[in-house]
Amino acid sequence: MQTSLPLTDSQHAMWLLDTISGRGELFNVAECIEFKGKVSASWLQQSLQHVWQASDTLACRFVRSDDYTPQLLPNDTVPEIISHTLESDPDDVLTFAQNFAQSYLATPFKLSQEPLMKLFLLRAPVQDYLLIVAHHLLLDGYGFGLFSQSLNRCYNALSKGKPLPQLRFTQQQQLLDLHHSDAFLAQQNAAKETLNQWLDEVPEINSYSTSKADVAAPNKRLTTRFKQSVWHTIQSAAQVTQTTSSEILLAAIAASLVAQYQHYHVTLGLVMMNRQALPELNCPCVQSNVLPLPLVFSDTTNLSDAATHINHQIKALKKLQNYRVESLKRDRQKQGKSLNIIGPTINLLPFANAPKYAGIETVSHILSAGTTDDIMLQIHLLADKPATVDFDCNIARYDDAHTQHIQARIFAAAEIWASQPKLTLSKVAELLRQTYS
Amino acid sequence: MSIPKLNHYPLPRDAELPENRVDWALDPARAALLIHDVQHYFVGFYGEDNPLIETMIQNIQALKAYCYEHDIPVYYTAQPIKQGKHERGLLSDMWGPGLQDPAQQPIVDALVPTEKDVVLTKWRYSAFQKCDFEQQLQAQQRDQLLIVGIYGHIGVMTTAVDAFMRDIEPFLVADAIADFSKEEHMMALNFVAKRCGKVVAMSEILGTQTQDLTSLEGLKSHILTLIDCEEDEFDEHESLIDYGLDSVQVMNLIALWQQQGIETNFIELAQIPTLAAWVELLEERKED
Repeated sequence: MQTSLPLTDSQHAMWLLDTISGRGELFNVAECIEFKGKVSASWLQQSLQHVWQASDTLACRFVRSDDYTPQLLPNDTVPEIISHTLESDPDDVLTFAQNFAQSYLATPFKLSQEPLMKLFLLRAPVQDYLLIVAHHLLLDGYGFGLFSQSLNRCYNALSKGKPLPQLRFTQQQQLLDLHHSDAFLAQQNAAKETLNQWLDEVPEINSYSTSKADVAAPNKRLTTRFKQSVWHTIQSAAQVTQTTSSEILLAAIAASLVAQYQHYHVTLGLVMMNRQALPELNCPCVQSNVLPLPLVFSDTTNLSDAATHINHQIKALKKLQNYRVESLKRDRQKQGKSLNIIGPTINLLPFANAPKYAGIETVSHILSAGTTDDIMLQIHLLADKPATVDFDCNIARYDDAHTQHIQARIFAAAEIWASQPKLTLSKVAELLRQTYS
Repeated sequence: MSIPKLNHYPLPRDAELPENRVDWALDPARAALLIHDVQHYFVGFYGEDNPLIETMIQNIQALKAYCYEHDIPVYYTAQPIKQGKHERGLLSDMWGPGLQDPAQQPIVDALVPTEKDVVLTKWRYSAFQKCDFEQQLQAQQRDQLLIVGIYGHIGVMTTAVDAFMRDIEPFLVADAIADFSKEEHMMALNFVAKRCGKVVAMSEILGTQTQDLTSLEGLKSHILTLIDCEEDEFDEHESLIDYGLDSVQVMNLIALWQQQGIETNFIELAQIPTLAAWVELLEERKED
């Protein structure tokens, strides 16, 4: 009989969120891999089996011990890829996949009884589509990428008649050993102190909505992409400021908040990959964290100042990323301080990948990346192509018109400031207020 | 109807340049340089402190210095002010009345012509039209023409086409021209490379080395600019994530390698996050 293992801090946090909310479906994530041709269902299933059984962080159940402590119980049962035949290829793959996934996204996983992933192979006359629905407790964005890449490697090995590759994933116990090491714990303690100190110095934290309404329904998404010409200007501005396009976008988001609240302290929530050591980078699991990114500007801040400051703060935050946001909130609560520790949440996703399956090209569609109780901007950075931004909103706080207004203001801020990097923040904010008041 | 307000964009990197159909070699004894329409009026549409224009001007300055050093004659084009309807012809229908203010007519200060240079009066898209430019080149025994300036897909490209039809070999300097947009810039480069000339980079003319981002040394010096580490303290076998290299910077590198036809992805690089391992992976991919 397999021995159960404790959870990592990240797994524990996700398990608690699921259990306390009683709304496990809110933590479902989904992706659709569009194959530009037909694939072998048998090779896919064999690949899945090989990947699944190579990792006890995938092949497991999340059970509760007698004293209600959650534990990871290894379980080799591999999810079955369920095939569906479609009469015709969908015109709009994203909408079709979202509709197909809807009922599965709305159904909570039974954490202690079943694998936390469901896979469907949708077979149309010309193309196939692999739809994957998983619980966030199983995988974060990076973990999903690692899983997909391994699936692809195995499939391509099978297609070439080669033996399946040896997958050297980090196992749960190795991850626990790392997280219990003196060096890791010392870093965590130092991070706790610094993050609390940061928050003590931050004035009021604002998001785009002042509503505190809880999540009552799944988030609604607005997806927009930068125009090619605007994206080129953003890239050029990144060169000028010696930063990257992500700092320019974060500066634009900050400018939109400055325009709304007319003060120069902005605290964003930044999703951190939170994988630094090699064992963490080789583990298909959940590990990501969301931490406050406090930014202090002034009316005379120009784009170069703003982007450099953001870059500096992100570097500082990276050293603190292994202290969980839930622990930080607990600290604030114990001290009788505000639990409102982040503004809008930003998730920078540089994991774009379109591997070929036996020569067949693929396109990845991220259908859901989890639920936020406020607003989350999922920024897909696609190498040289313009970034796509998903605005995922709690509909109890944001209606469609409000979300569109936020999107328009951020995109305008990016265009205005990237075009004229020497404009001061007060001028950018004024221009935004004139157009979007 | 006038020229729109123009934004900056990144000048194309060497790896982005189109493949040339011709293998002409630039010969200083046969070449002339044409600095096209860098007048206050045309430059003004980019606004003040435009990074694209600043870089283009710096590059043209370097190229002009190279030409002086190698006895390559330097020509400018400049459009006259207040052209009559007959003089301006169909240009009025397309762009309106054009240059009216005398203060906007001169070449920009940073590139002001010297006594050695020749300034041609420009009447149409091509510098050769209604002008004795071809004869002047012949008199100087020049049958190669380096073309720089603005705007890439209009006058610069058209002059290249016209030069080609006069059996003068045009060389478009990809990172010493500016355009309405990157798309139009690349369109001009692609057209010239495929149909009427050779597209070259500054580095090729000046003989300067560009960083090879797939070699150990090239990649190392690039990465050292991104992280807080002195060169003598850097170990190519240590984790780049420990050195502070972040995911977005890795994504930018992936895009640069992609331009050289090398496909990688973030997840596979993150699993082997050392410089030495990346260079090994890049070598394998080059062979694929």
